[in-house]
Amino acid sequence: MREPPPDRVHHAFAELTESIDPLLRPPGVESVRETVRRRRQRRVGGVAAAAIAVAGVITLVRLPLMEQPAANVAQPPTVGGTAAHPSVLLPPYAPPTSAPTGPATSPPSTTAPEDDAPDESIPPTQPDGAAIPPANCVSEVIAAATGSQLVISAGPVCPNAEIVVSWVTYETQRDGSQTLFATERHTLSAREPRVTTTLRESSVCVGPWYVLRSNPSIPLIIAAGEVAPFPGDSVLASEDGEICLR
Amino acid sequence: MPDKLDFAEFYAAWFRTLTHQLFAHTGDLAEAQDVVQEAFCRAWPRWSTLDDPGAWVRRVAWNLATSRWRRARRLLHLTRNVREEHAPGPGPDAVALRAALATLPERQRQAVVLFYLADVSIAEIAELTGAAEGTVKSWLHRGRATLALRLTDDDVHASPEVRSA
Repeated sequence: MREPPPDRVHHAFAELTESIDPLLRPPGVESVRETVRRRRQRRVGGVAAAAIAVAGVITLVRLPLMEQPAANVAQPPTVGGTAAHPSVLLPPYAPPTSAPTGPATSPPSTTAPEDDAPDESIPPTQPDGAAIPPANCVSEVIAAATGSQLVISAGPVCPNAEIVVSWVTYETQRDGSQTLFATERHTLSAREPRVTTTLRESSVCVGPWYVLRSNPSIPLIIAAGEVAPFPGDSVLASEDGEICLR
Repeated sequence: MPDKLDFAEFYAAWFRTLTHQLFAHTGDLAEAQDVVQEAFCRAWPRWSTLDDPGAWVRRVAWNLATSRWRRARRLLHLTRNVREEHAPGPGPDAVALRAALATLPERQRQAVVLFYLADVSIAEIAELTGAAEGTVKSWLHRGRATLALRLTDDDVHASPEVRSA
């Protein structure tokens, strides 16, 4: 097979680059910074919107319970009862005569239990005398990534609750499947409601990553075309990656 | 946060050369600029952690170009529309080169572009593409042969073995 004269090929490449140079319009560093800033804001906004939506759904789900006569919980919780498990405190047919007269006497313990709430009973007051945390305590968790820096925070974390969160990174293969690259698990608590960590990413690719809650199983390989590799309510944040040429 | 001046210098030093490479690969200047800019956007938040930012951005830009090319190809397949060409008005050799590059298989074209435009060694191309060095040499050899068909009139008209290669 005959090869072209090297000078000719080099010349052609040089001509090609020279021909497009006058047409190049580098958007510039400021554009890079602005794009990154905008994406970060959008991501945070998206997470906040998702948190609000989740809170809204939870409120709607609990609404029927909230409308139950609050007399059921007007009395202090008993030793056997738990604010986190109002169904224990709540007789199915409470006498309406003992209903409270105002919202102040209607503690939110009538709401359904939250997954992250503790299993054991919560005393009426904290050891330090602090007020009883709301029995309908809902721990909202948000995650925000800046490059590979990841911050996961919960607020509030219900007393004694432990919220398992994790991040997982993948490499996207040529066939579109994703191969597990790294993962790490953290536990958020009232004492440590926030964790700052680093997404361990492939050094050669920008792969997809996910921040997860509730400790779902993490597949080693996500098949091409799989659009929901994790239960929807477990994904706190995620970002797509690109095919890894390696 | 990355150091602004360093990143700006890096951007200035790499944007054009990367765009040249991606343009040679994709044949679309707007697409080439877009993927290079996107690669810089991916690099900026990671700037302080990148050991070899040039190689990293180049790789990400190529990955992006490949991903988008696949998506575009799927879209083309679905819509059967002809993709708009952005011809910048180059000289005859450049036109012939673009046409020749367009006929090369994707990985062959990548190898040729990296070799000629990015001065990347065969070993580095092998590492970048995940192929064996022998395979890369083969791609380069075939790629040059195809370029010969387009760039060397004598070869086109007088070399049946090249034409059939």
